[in-house]
Amino acid sequence: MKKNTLLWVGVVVMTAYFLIPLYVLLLIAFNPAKFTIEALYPPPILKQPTLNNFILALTQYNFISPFLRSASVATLVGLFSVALGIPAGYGLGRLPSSLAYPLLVLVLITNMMPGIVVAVPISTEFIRLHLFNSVLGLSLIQTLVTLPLAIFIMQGTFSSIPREVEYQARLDGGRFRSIITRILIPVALPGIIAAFLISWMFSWDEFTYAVILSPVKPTLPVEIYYSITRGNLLTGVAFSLIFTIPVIILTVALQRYLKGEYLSGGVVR
Amino acid sequence: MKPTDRRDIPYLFFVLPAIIYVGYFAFYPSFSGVYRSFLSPHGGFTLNNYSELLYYNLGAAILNTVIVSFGALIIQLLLGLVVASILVWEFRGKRVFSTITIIPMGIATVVAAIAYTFIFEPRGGYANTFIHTLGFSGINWYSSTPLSLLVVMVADSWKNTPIFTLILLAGLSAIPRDLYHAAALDGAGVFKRFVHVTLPNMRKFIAIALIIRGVQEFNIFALPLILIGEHPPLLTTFVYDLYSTSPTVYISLAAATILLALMTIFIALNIAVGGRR
Amino acid sequence: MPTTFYNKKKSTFWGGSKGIAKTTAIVIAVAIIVIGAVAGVGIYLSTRPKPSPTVSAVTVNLYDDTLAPSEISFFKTTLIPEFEQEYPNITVNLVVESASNMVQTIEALIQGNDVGPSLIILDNLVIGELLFGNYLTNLTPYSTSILPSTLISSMQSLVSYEQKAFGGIYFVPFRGNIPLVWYNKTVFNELGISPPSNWAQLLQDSQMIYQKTGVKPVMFQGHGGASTYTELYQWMVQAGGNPFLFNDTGDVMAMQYLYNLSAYFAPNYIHGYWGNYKGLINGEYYILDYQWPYIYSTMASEGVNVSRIGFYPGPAGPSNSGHLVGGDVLAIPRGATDMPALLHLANFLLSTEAQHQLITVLGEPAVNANAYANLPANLSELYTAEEDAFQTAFFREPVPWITEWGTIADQVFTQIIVNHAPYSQIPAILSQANQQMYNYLLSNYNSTVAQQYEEGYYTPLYG
Repeated sequence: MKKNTLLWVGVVVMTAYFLIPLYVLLLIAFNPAKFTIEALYPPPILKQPTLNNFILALTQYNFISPFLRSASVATLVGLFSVALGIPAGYGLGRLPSSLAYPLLVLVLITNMMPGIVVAVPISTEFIRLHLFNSVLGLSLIQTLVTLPLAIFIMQGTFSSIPREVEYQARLDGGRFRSIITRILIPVALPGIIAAFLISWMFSWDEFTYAVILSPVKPTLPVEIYYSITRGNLLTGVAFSLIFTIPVIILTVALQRYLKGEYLSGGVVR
Repeated sequence: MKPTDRRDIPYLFFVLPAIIYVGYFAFYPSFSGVYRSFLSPHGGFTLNNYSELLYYNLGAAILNTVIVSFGALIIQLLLGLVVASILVWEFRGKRVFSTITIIPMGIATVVAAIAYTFIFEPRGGYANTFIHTLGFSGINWYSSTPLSLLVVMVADSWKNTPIFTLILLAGLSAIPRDLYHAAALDGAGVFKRFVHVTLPNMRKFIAIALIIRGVQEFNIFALPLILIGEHPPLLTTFVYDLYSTSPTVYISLAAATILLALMTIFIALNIAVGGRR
Repeated sequence: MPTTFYNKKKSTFWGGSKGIAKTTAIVIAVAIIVIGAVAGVGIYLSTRPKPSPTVSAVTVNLYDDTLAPSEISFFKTTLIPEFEQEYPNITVNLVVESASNMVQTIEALIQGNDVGPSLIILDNLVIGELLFGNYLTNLTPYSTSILPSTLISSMQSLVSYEQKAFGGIYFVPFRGNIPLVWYNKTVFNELGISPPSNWAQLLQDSQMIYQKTGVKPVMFQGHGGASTYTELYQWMVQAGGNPFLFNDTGDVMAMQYLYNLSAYFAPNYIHGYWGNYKGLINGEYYILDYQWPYIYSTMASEGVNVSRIGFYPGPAGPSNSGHLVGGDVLAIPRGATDMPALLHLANFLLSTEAQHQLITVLGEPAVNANAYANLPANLSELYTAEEDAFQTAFFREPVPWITEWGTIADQVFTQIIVNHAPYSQIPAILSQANQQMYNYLLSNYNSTVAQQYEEGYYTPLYG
């Protein structure tokens, strides 16, 4: 049937489109240099695959510190985003559209502030507060990138919990705090986890603020960028692959939570 | 006074921490930056910083940014529609395919940029190897501005199509099947059904996807920095270039203000055209 | 192959399977938080200053700009341990960042009163930004204990210039750097030509190579930023111009010549900067004009057969064959603590032993003349070429507005070479650049400086 072939052509083409850059990275990481960066027309297949590039990269260059730095920053960012996002999402989920909509737009606008516009004045503040080049400072700023999405997700989650559930619990004599912990949070848990993990991923990837506010003790993406600009391409690629693995695992494992409804913030139901 | 007002106030308090955070970390620095772009190093009001930008070919930076943003959005929209349309169906291996389509979202921008620098090189590189085996001579992918911008658009779309796919898929899944049956009964072919049933119902989703991604598109920084450096300039790399080399930071703030203004126009346009919501 | 038209279950676009269960997701989230917390605590503990068991144990922060990987490795595995062995109470922490980033970092540290024991190694031009911002300690009282008595002559001139122009010594030369021209010996031999000795011949040879091999043979540092405007500076000087002015006769001649030469630039020149050399090995280009000599030992350490790579000071310009002296200087940020430790380190870095290793291991020109004694045979050739180049050395005057000049120079390069403006417009474009620089000085400094600029008061310094 014509529909079938069209479908399969689409699947094959899109699969190739999505996988080719990853394949190229694998080639460069595992092929010896003379088949990659030293060749004018590099062969598109694995020839004499070797682990040399990785061994060189990991023994000669510092991978652990940027890696740990990225991990701690990402975790803090996840926690901050959730800490700010849960109450905000709850409030926005319960407010009527006329009030919620402008606030949502406000949050959306912060997502669009160019990194430079924010980073330059903030860096002078941070210097005063001794937060320049620090894990805490960078985490505080990166939350700016992840917070709007976290709020969107939490708002979508909470607005899908009917108010009646709360009223019923209150009628049954529950105090506000226990309503939150016994009812709201458990029901909203998938959304909370989604928000935490997506914020974690975005922070792991974040580059602009990291390169401006923490240049001396870099996070991993910045370290990779430095390797590349110093002409050390193979190390950059080796680090990139190792760096990507946790995220691929996360992305694959969390497909269930990366739903379109969450990403559009439950605004369109 | 509306009867719902008093009950809403406690909910406003919940939103307050986020608002305070955003106010201090986003709005305050931005306003401070915009304000400083109108100052001279001696402290008075001046439009000098902006006129200096004209010398540095601000116009080209703006034009390139607009071209790349719109071009990339169009590519992502089309590809997103294609993938979403495929994912609406059931077929063998669908789970694997859907995982594959979402993986680029997890690849760091820096990593994607690196991969694409190896694919597109002025002489050689993997794309040229492929072209070579077909018998043609290689293309210099950075020989002209349009070509360089195209490379950026392609690389950026690769990473960001998954977001479009997810949002569009949510929209596609929500269209009731009866509409399609009715249209088929009226004699509409695949294409007509797409235009008259699918697209109108997807308007809200497309609008949201365009706004969310559009705003991010204007802001792309790591990717063009690694792929094309500072020729041809985009507004973000332009700002960064001025920031890292100019002894006075005011000029780069002026460029950043212009970027901010551009995005505001884009959002306003989108809201106006897409209808409220 | 059954394809159902539409799957009525809304939430499953993954084809019926639900992905992972909720508990697993919670486990993953908790695991991430734990790892992150451990990492954070680890970082906190490792960066807290350790209580010193003995008296005055110091950790000096040594900032160095833009070291290549081979250089970083040498510092960490050889040079620094040598120093630490000699001074067991002092640990050295190497921090590497680009010159402009380092300026910002140092300024940030000084403003935050957070300098600590810090020594910086910075480009001999960018140091001007810190100097004029009053961010450097005056080293004159310490000069006798740091400076070796055997500085090479061009560096001695630099120190004398400092005392004259700034009334004191604020930085001391650490390593010199002078660009050479590199070429593919095999190709040149096959074509029966020797490396071009002047600009006219360079153009001629490039044209011939292109016609015979179809390869555009010349590589230029055209990426933009410091690489490009540094290279432009040398080309303009060799044509007899004052690069700061942009539009005197020498400058115009240089840009016109480059315009013609650019027809034979390798396509990748728009990405060329101080890190490019691989193209010489894989045949992407045949003559690299110019590049810093560190690539020689880098190539050797990567196993490249360096005998097929030739190098020499390069073709002479119409007016002179001046060579721009780059390289780094040592300085101490204002407010740095633990001066004795810093002075020990500075002294060590300038000693004959350390400087000798700069030559033998990194192939970089030392500033201590004694370091050139007893060079191994293969390096002596490189050293001879460098010494040759040093005969015609000049320095860029470290004015505080140098990066503004550089940004304008970049713009000029883009307009004339990259965007290929019409040849007849070159003088006009350069005059516009001159005007731009003048206006900048007028609004950011004062009319005296602007006037002096226009009159050519700021010129290259000859050693």
